[in-house]
Amino acid sequence: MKQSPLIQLSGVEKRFDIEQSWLNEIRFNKGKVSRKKEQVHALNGVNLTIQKGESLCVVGETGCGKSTLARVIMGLNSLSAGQIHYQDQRIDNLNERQRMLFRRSMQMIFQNPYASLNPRMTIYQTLSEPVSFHNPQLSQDDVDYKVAKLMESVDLSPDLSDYYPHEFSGGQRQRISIARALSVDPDFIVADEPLAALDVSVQAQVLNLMMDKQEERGLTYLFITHDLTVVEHFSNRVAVMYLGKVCELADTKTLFKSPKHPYTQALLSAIPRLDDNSIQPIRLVGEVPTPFNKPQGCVFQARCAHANERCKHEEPKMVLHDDLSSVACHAMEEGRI
Amino acid sequence: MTLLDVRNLNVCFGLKSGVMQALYDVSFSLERGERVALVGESGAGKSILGFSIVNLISKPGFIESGSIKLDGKELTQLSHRQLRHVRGKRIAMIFQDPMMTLNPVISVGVQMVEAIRSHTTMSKKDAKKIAIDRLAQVQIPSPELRFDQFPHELSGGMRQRVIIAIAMILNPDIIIADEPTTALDVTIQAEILELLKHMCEVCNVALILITHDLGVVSRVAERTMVMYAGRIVEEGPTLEIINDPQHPYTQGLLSALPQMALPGQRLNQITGSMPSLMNRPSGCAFHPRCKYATEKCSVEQPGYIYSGISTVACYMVEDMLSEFSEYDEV
Repeated sequence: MKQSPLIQLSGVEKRFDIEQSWLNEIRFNKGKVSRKKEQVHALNGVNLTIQKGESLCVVGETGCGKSTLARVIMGLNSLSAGQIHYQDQRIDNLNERQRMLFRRSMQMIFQNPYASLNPRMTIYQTLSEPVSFHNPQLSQDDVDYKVAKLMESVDLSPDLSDYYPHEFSGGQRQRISIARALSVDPDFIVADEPLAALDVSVQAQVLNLMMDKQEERGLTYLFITHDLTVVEHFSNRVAVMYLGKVCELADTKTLFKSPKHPYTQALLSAIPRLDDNSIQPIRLVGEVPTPFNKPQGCVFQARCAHANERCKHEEPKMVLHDDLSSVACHAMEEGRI
Repeated sequence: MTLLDVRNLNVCFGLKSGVMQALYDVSFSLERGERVALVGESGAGKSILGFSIVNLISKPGFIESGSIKLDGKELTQLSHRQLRHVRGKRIAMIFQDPMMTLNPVISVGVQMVEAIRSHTTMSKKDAKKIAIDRLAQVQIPSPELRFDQFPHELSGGMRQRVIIAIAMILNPDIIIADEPTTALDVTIQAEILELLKHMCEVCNVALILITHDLGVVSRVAERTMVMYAGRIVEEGPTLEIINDPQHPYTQGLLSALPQMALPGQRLNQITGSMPSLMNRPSGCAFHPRCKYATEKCSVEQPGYIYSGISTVACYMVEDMLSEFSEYDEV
């Protein structure tokens, strides 16, 4: 694969203010009155490079910041700190009008096809709107032609274009979502749990379609999921997230063969396998910490079996290993695992 | 003696546009301490089957015909009052979303004590002792503390543990778990499944696990029933079904899993999607999506036949078996 970065994230942070009345924000500290806002730290310094033509999967548990990551890349949420580059252009500080140029090349597929399609728009309206908006020079016939082509490309008959979303099944709706994302001929697609709301047999249809489109158009995917079996099948590289940080980044093969971070190891051991149930899942002690207060040291240390004093105070940095995987773990660095 | 025996169960829903049949001639039995999985896609009728065992189907649904026997006692004929002694006490249920199951304004402990005292004449003090005991049994740390907490103070996995504790509290014979881990993360899912399996083994409780995840099935259940459009299409030991599925739908379901293909390869897909129960295809309900379908399949519903591995309702398997037996005779 050619190594040319398409998207580059450096030190991306995102904090959300918790809405509460100003009275609750007042704190007494050493005889002084101060106002303090509680914040949720959704992303704590994410560095990630997405290469052209690859599919990068982001995995992690609920609340680790996967979806926030997708949203800040798409510009649906602003950043608290850090930078995002698309090819060589910085895109996180653009205004709406400047951003419009990039909306054509970046598109998103959402989790729930029941919620992400406008129920009052026919499929034709849903698909033709982005086409004619981004290509105002096209004639009506051209738009019609393009919509028909789009529907064919996702295995839907163009005769169905006057139907409304509720008349389709979940899998068909997700295919319409994919068609909508493809309608502006993007280079880069962010898919936020596109299979979560679908049945197994329909999941296969959608996954196959996404792989076909990647081959046809040379798309780059950022694929967010919690289903590790899909990851193993679909992606080239995997980023494992925990509490707003990437804790391991590796090629899919390497990651599944030799997971290095203790969290990744626990995650992989928990996959329900069909054939071989000899692997006992590694039990993580404790609960997922809430991202209210930025934890000191390693984010995973409270649940980690290998944690020591250093992990409590010092934040681990991503270290590149021989097999090109990078891991943020003191224990790994010191050779304790 | 079989613990639960369901025979020719038909469940219908009376709708404005006509009667919709949700379950077709469902028959199965369950032994004491056995763990059975009910697998299928959404709309297959798995949850309806789970609900109808304890007659939790609300109007316009009704059990049209068939029998459900618990220890030889017919359940479908019981009044609401009599059913109340069965529900919770002999057959307990675990639902998908633990936040919806627990009452948010009552503390965990009170809900547990309530469950005990509504079925027994135990004092509050004794009930509390048992409740704390059960919380410890489902591996909740510091159960005395958790006893007084409210559901929102617990995490998702912890809540599901509390639900399991409540389900187990009266030593039921059967637990029906309706997608108990769908709302949970993988690491927690693995823990909850382990716990559920362990508790069933220790207390000799039979489990009916309703799920769509075949990986979950292989981890927990000894026997599997695959449902399609309101009918059980295949039934047999879990490992055998996973290694050698007989029914084309089970085959399709298994080969659609990403684990079954090499990375980057296209997955096998079943064309089309599950028919709505309103317009169920004639004959075998799977025939419009089946690649082996013949004319016979679209006319008549296949009966059950034992293939040597599992019990299947499919003409293809039937024909194959009769061919084999002809060879044997020659």
